[in-house]
Amino acid sequence: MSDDRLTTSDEELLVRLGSLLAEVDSVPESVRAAAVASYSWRSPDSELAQLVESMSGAAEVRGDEARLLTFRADSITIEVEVIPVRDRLRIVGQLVPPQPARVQVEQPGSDSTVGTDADGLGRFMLDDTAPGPARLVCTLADSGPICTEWTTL
Amino acid sequence: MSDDDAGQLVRAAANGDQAAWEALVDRYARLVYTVARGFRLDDADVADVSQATWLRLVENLDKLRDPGSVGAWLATTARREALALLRNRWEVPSPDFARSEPIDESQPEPWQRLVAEETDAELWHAYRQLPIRCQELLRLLVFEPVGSYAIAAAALSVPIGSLGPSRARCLATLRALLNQPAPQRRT
Repeated sequence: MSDDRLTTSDEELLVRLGSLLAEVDSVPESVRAAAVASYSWRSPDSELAQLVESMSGAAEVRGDEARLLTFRADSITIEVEVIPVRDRLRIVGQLVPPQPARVQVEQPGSDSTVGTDADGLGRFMLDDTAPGPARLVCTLADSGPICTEWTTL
Repeated sequence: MSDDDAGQLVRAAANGDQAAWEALVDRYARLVYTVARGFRLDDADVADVSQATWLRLVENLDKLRDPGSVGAWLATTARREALALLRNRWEVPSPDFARSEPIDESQPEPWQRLVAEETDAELWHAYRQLPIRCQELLRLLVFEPVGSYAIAAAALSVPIGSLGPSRARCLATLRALLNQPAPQRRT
């Protein structure tokens, strides 16, 4: 039977290989910096809306297929359609139950945060979003911010 | 570095300790990057997968069931993010698709050979002679805790029990190659 534990010499060999690969196969500085910077998006006080459904090809808009994403928190469901418009994205959303709210899209890649107001029926639209990791932050009239899970759009 | 240490870093980062977060990045940035690069993604997509994986860790710092296994959690998450991105690529063809090219891991860049020759040429040449499957497995076993099956199994999405014989065989082959007389250089 093989022993699951590593011998000391095996471990030494792997450590040696590890330092070698660290040089040969190093992480680009921009990738490492992005990982470090991710920490600044920590928001322990906001409620998390989990991605519960992701569907593609549900609608055909100008030849591009849209994605339908559904995020759910305790108090609210956020449904969004992500529509490619050339190399950018349009986000059309609906809050359920319908209600007015401030909706912002946060992206680590961009310095500015784009926001809009959902109307009385809970509808909102965000134009010109860049593809990549993003999350929506909804601020309702009577509660703290609700963040969707980070999702690569 | 044991599972306990990794768990402590996770708990410290969850409590607002920026230095603990950076220690986690130092330890596992290359793991996440290595897993992402294992798929047929271009550089921009690999960067997105890496970023999304770290953002998800930020989001889940205080929710991990087993903080000590954060390495395996990161490997699983990076794999899922890469697969999700590939799924979208297939379903929503875009101009980006054309520039996705398979990465040929068996052909190191010239600069990689140079770097390796300056550091540990002997080990590098032995490693490059291993079957690709062994190279893939061993490159996942170098992360803390060194030699752990959990991270490799998560990254490769295979049962932990299946890796024991492979690890033993790959390490034995690597050692045998190292003990050979000076490697025959192929040009």
